Amino acid sequence: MKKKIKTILILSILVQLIYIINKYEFHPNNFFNAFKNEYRGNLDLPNETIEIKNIIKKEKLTFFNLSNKFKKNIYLYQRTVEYSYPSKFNEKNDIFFELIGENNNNCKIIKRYVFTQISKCTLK
Amino acid sequence: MHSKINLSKLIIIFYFCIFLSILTMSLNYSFLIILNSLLFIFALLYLLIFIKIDVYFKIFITLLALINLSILTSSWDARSIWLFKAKIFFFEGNIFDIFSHPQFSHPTYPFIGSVFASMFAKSLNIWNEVYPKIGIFFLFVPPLLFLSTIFIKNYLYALLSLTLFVFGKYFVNGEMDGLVSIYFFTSLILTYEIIYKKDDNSFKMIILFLNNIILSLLKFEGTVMIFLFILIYLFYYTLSKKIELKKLLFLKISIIPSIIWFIYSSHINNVFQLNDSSFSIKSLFFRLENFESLILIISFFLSDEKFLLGIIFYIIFFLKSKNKNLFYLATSIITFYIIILIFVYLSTNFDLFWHLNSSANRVIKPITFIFFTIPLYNIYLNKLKL
Repeated sequence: MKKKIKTILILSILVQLIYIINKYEFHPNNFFNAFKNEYRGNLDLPNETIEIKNIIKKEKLTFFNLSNKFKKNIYLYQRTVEYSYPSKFNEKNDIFFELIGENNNNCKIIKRYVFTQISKCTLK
Repeated sequence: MHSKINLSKLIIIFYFCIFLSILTMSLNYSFLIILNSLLFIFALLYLLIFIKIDVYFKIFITLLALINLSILTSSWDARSIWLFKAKIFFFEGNIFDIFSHPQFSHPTYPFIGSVFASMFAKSLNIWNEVYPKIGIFFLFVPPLLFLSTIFIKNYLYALLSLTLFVFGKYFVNGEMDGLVSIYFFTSLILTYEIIYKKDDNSFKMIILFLNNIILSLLKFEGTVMIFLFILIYLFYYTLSKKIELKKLLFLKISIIPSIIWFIYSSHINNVFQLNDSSFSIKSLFFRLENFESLILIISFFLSDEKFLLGIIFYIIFFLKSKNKNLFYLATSIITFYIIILIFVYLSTNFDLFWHLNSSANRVIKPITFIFFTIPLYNIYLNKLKL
């Protein structure tokens, strides 16, 4: 009887581990790259966030700002701020990332990319 | 016997490494940080290779560590709060400069999970979307290992199965609620053993002391739990003298680190106007005017099927149990905790429905876990065959 209970309990643990593996983006590739700096695998992040991170890296920006329309989208805002770190979001910075097609007063578009654009804005 | 002594020391080393990480990360000396991480890793390897403990328990820990390293960090709170804080500590090297943290990362929240995760990242000087999360998982090791000395054979497998059932995803997603649950349970049964079973040897006192400190620094919920434990110790000391004054004072000290953090973070919050406060007395009084909010909160709690199942499980075993002391202790803490949770939700500045929807099922995890594990522990105490 004890052995039967043991088998059932261990099987229940295994089944639940398999459930976790299936549910949460488990991939052996992640394991083999787990010790690679800046590895992100196929992490599901907004296109704008990935683009901004690449621009920040290329342009070596220490600080950046985000347009109001950008900040209104909480998901986009939080993912961009945390993923772009150590480059810091700063509300006093005059270099703004805007969503493509945005047209804000007191801002001059510097460059357009696929999903975002960089503008230099006069801070009020 | 020889192996058992080593295991006790090893458990203390694990707890000590976590506690020490606050110091090494505060000092920000690479050498000390690497030494701290190595000590933990060596202790873990020593446990897996040399210590004679249940082989399935070893496999369980190893598998979860491997799964952790194969899953990307994607959950909202892990990315926006816990591992974001760890990332800031990793790059900035100062765990107290919280005034510059973005507001959504909740700068004033307790920090030990983030500090510990950051320590492992700093040791290898690697930041990516997989590896730092392992530090959060490693925090599960000390309480699980300690519990493996109390629950043996089938009781242990039942406990591990219940941990996966109640908060399985929290082993791999980098959030704190699974940790709060397991540390809470450990503190609860240690408190029971010290008060009722008079099993207050120095090893258990040290573990309870360290476990309390870490629990109080995981999340504010943990701080509240430790506060409740202190009240329980005080209650038993005043009314029944079931705890010696010396031990009572020792256990009381365990709340000091979280109080220091609370005072410090509140000070920073006021000085730098971080506005990291989601609660107010005004909201509380406003919602106390009618019962709608209260009903909404309770209905959210009861809509969690595991919570509901846990209540039924708990009540059945409570009624069947001959010695109810364990249930009285657990029920008193759970009741106070739920009352505090209700008051916290009533005082939220956010839309109540949104706040409950985004957090209720997480904050009740520790209670759900207690509902399932206290009956299991009671069965074990009564030596029923399993």
